[in-house]
Amino acid sequence: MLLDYILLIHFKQIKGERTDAAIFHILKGKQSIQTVQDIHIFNLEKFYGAARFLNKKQFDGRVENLRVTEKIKEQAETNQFAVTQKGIDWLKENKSAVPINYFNGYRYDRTASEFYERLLLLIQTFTNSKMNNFSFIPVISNRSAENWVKSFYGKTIGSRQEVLPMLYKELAMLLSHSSRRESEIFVDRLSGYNVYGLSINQLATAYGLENEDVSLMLTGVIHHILSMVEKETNKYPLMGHIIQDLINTSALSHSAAATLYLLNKRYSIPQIASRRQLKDNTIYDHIVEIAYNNDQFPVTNYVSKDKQDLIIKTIQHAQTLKLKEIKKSLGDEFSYFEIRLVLAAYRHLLKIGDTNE
Amino acid sequence: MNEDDTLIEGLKHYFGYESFRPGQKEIIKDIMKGKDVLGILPTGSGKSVCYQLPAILMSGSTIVVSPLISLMMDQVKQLKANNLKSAVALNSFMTPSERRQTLQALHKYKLIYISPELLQQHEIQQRLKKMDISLFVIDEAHCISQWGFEFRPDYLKLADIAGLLNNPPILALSATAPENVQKDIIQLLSRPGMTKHIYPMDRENIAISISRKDNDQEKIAEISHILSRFSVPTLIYFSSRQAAEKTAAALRETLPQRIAYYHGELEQHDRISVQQQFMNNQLDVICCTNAFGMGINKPDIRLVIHFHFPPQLEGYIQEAGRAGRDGKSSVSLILYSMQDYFIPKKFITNELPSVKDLSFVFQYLSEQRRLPAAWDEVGEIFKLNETQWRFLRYQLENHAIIKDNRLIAGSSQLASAFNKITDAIHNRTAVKEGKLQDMLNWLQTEGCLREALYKNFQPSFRKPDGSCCSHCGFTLADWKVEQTIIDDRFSGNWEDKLKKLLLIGENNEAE
Repeated sequence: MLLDYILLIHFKQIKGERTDAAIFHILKGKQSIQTVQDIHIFNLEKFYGAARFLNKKQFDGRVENLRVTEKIKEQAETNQFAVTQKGIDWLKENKSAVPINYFNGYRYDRTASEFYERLLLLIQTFTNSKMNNFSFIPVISNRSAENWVKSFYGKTIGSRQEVLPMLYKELAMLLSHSSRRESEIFVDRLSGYNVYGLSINQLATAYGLENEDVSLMLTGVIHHILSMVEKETNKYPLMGHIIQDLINTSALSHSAAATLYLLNKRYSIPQIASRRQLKDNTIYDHIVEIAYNNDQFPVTNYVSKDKQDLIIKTIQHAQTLKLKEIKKSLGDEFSYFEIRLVLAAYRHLLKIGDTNE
Repeated sequence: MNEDDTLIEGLKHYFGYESFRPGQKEIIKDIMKGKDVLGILPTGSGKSVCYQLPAILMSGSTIVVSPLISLMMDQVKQLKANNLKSAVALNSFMTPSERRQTLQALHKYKLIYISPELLQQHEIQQRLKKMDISLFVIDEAHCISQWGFEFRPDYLKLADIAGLLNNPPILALSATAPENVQKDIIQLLSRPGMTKHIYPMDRENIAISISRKDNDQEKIAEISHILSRFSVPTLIYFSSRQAAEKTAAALRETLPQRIAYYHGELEQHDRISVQQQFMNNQLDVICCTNAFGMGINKPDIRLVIHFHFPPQLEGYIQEAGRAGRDGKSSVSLILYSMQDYFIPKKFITNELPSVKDLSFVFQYLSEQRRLPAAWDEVGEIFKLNETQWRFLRYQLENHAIIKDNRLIAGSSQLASAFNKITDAIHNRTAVKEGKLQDMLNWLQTEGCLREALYKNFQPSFRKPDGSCCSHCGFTLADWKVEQTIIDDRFSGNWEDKLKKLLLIGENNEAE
């Protein structure tokens, strides 16, 4: 149900302005400027990368199911799906049952899995070492999480017995902000000394849920934990330590960050492209991505004030966010880059989806 | 200390075993003398110790070629859990930086697991060439033979690679290699002087039972009936993920046992959890595909059920052989219905490209003059799966049609290669169909199942410990076996569970 709920919210926000593939890309956290742009203009930032486990076949099956149950319907004008009144009612009915507000994909997508894997490995390592068992099979095979836990384990020599009580205290406090069922699921998935956590499907069976919803729920709880830890680090010192080096990295992709570094050193776009052996267009995409992450982005360096005004007017007039149509109305002297950049810089002004679901 | 003492000392110290299993010591001693060895040891007899112990004791590094990435990763995990840290599995899942780091430090590892595909890479070959390689192990060596039940074209290049590495001693291992495959292994590795250590594959403590059913519902009812009487560690093999998932759900409805499914599509965290729960007796029954079991050393699996039979006897022997590694009385049960015949048929077609696929690839090649480099594109353009593509690419290289993905042949060569590859497809299909036919013949044997099964592989078999087979009077009703007690660890609310998990002492807590 959680997955259906999230899918419906996407259809509701997008209002037939994009194909359903765009929704799939958002949930998978696709690193393309189109997807980054979509989550911003349709107010879907929180779901970016929220369902990385999903494959196209599962996704298509779910969408088909929403269509058959008449929660979405193909629109005559656009040939795209939009949510129906029945769908809206269903969203309202189920609003209290789903932890939608936990999600903060655009902020935490990159950090959530690394944080979770460190936590899992940390618990397994410290419980086993407390029981003097040094031959256990780690549930996680991620080199960077392994290295982190190794170095943390080394650093805690002398105060090792304090780690587990601290973990308990902080996790118990954090989980008390989730529903009982969410906390049960979160705890049952953990592995420790002589006990291995339940798989997604075992959890689904135990709690009468679908596999996909268990995965989503766990992702939601992890995002929720991350935001609480980030807000009140002094309350959660151990958790704060786990995320310390993860969370301050910005939402920018590595590649866009590298471009920003060179832009700040006043390199031109062709210079950056040749230094980085990338195409000019890729650098343009980076600039748009940078604009999404900076409210004071100097748009006028790239698009003249007059052109900006024209683009904004055209979008408001046409009531569409489809790039092709905007470009058609504007004519050849406007590039896609200019339109994208204006969309990014004026995203708060140009939103057409509802801002609160 | 004499040699035997050193070996047994090492076995105790590194693996925690008190004594060698049959064959292990003999093979290890020959390896340490620098001989080339062909070892045929049944499933569950501890093949890996045959190279892991010498790898530790000898100077230099040991390379282990294995076609199964997940098996390699499991073994490395197991070694690390046993505090043998100097093992690594080179695999295609590594990130570029992980890979760079690992390659740089490669000489520090005693045991290097690698897939035959990765071993073709120039960069890796150059790295290995500079190292001191004390032993070159070829696991699942039957993959080198077209007569083997699994054929991996890349295995045919292993002799050349051994040459490149200054011809270290070779240890070729397999659980299932009949006479003709053994010959192929020795010949294709160009080591005619190989010392053979062949051990019988029959297992005296496993009773074999075949039961014919009309449909899946009857099979599920039968399994429910059996498991309601016998609560023992159980594996149930299926030919598809969907069937494993569906049946696990159906069985959970009626049985008190803790039941989970396992297949290759699970995320890695789940795969390890389910495996380890089973090892740890937190789980009683696993419904799985053949992705489960390799490298799982659970000694007390009592019952292996085949909901679908595998497409060849070799696969059956390996899977059934996971039962009773501790030597205690165990059972292999095959539930078989007439419709099942079509499933392995489909496997065979899925394993090889069709002649139509072949003409499409040839047409593409003559137009584009090259093949797409990325696997994703190959899948997309030619609609082939990885096994089919591996077969085809090997054939194209072997007939000098392509080199580094570029067309190097003229049109007349193309035409003759087309015919030769078509023949190769047909030959391989015929081998696979023959194997399937052997399986079907065996399922319909009227005499002793044990005799009929092993006669395909070895001259004789040992007298079973207890019951022989369902054709020699064995019925599950008479099976005497120790039952496991199902204890449910996961009870209580999450606060209590978390406290218990994190070992927060209950003693210190006020009542």
